[in-house]
Amino acid sequence: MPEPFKRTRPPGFPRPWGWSELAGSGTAHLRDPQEALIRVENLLVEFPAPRGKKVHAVSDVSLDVYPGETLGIVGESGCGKSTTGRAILQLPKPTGGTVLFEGVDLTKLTSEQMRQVRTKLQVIFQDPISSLYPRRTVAELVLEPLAIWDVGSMEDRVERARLMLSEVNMDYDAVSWRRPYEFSIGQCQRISIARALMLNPRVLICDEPVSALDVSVQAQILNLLEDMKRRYGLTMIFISHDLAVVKNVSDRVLVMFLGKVCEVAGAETLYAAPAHPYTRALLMASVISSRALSRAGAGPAPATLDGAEERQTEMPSSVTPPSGCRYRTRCPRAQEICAVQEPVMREIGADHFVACHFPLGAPASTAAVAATNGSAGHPDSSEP
Amino acid sequence: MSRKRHIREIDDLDDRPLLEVEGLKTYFKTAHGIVKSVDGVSFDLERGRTLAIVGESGSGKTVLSRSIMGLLPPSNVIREGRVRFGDVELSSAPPSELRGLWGAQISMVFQDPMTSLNPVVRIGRQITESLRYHLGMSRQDANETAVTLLRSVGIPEPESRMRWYPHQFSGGMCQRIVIACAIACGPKLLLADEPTTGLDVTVSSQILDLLNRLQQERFMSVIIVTHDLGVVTGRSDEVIVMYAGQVVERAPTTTLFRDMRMPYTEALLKSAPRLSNESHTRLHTIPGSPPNPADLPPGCRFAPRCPYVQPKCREAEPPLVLADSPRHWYACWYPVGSPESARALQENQAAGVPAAVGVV
Repeated sequence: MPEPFKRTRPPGFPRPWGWSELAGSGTAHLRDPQEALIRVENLLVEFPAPRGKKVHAVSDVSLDVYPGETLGIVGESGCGKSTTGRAILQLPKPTGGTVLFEGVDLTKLTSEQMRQVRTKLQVIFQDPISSLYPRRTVAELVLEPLAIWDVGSMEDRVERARLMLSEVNMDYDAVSWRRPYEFSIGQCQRISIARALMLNPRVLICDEPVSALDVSVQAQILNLLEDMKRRYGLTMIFISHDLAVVKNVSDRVLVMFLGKVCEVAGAETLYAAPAHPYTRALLMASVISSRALSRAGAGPAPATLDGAEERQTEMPSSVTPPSGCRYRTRCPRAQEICAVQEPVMREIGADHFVACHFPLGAPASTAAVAATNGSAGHPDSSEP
Repeated sequence: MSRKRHIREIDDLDDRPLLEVEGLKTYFKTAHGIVKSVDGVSFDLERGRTLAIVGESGSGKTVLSRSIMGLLPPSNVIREGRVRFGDVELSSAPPSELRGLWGAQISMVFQDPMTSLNPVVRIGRQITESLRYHLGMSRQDANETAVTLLRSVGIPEPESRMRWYPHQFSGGMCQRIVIACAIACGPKLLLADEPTTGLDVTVSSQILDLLNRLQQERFMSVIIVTHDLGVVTGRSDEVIVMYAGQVVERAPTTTLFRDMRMPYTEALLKSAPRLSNESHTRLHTIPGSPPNPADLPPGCRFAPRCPYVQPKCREAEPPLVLADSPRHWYACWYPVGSPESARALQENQAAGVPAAVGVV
């Protein structure tokens, strides 16, 4: 079968102007390729923009997920986190890079082979109402995957649907003839989860599954996802802009900014000691609301982030991203070197990787080594 | 020659709050019966204070804010109760009088910034519109004021941005422009309906800081309607918690978070994931879903989901009563922290009431 998508540039082809050889966030944070269930290397997704330009949606993102692990991807809107999730599913095929799933490179598969692999890779989207076809009944929706793959007899399929719907606390007999508009958003999200699990997938990619929900419903769905993960041995990629939600479900967290990876670490490490200035800015913005929720007290919001507030808030354009470090236009610690040289992923602690010339909390010597290219030492080098 | 000013000046009554809402009810007549979206809400708001209205979707908080403004559809609505703003009775004021108030004395910031601006009109004209209409400014004066406003809400290069269209701005920038439009005529009351929903964390904290700063500079009263309890703290003086169209708890912000009495408030706070929790912490959930507003249960409306529920709760509706601390009201027969509620919870757990199982 011919490939439906025409790539603008084969992988490995020399990069266009403006990309140094060091460009990209590197792959230092990848672990043992033998053990990883999903291993994404140098993922590149570009979309055409007017006047022959390109939107650099995802630029050189690498990540890996071990079986049974949950990887959280956090970032602001427009940082490419959803595009990364979709590129893993080849929706659409990435412009470059490799996506290894169970050792097979998904980017090289034909669409028929990919269709077969997709049974093991399922996805849940942000808006549950629009991801369920409005004119179908719940039974049709959840039975469709089995019908497509012609699994078992009709009785077996209904039995499976009954089981999966009961797993998400819904009664098959009560809901099977209803249509999506008759349910609340939370219930629709449950139906989406049941449908995604019908074929017993290995990987569940959750693209902002709780962003549209109220707190009380959000808690129900998050608990449900945790239960499903444990019971069916799922591996999850959980994409969200809410740091508290991501921490709740993830083993390992990856922070993205404008199509690049900023920082990767275990969930506890990342939240306890953020090393990238962007991670800290994100944390500071949500820590205010989180502090409020602990009963202890609700003090006034701090005016600045330890005197190091972000300089501007606008996301730089992904058509013409800043040279060097893409965060530098917002970064309070930016130096000359940040505009010239792109920071590469490096290890700063046990399983804690950061792509920054001047990571927070680094001893002065480390920062100085990073700044060997003749740039002045950074002002906060005495910080513990 | 100056243009006519279309503005209804209001008297500041020193001894009375700026806004007083008494027994406000807003019902909609639908094919499924009468939907009681707002059912007897009373509160008052003083000049320069911030009130937060918190609740889940469907709790009636948006309808409440629109009902205060008088922005309801013309038919199939039953609206009862009193809304007094300064010396104007908003509930009985004719549309001509409201027109002199909207935008000038009361203004509103809506949830979706991309759709609350007109996409085919340059933002300069959208900001100057109310200045020219209400204050009768000349074109040049209005333009200069608009540039100052844009600068005060943090838009870089305001002179050139005046000629931009809304689609050229990001969501956060659009919300800043909407706020600039809303405060253009120096309103005394600003209603912000979910001003940060749909914005990123970093952007939303800046928008809230901006609202806070403008409020202090201009001595406005602000009502923030939100579903996010985190938004409320540190930025509001008082909080109203709504459930199924009613106020279930009302308290100064610090009191509410430290010493809540209503089980619903407690459950809401517990169900939000926190940064301080370890990962894979099991979240507390509220079982079931909010009641259908066209078919409300008798007694307390939270009773079917409440861990402390007792037979009395299903029969009699609890009134809003004053707690020990000043300005703290709640509506519950078995308030959180009282010995009766502890006993009720124990009984429910022993009896295996689903809502109570697993509550610590």
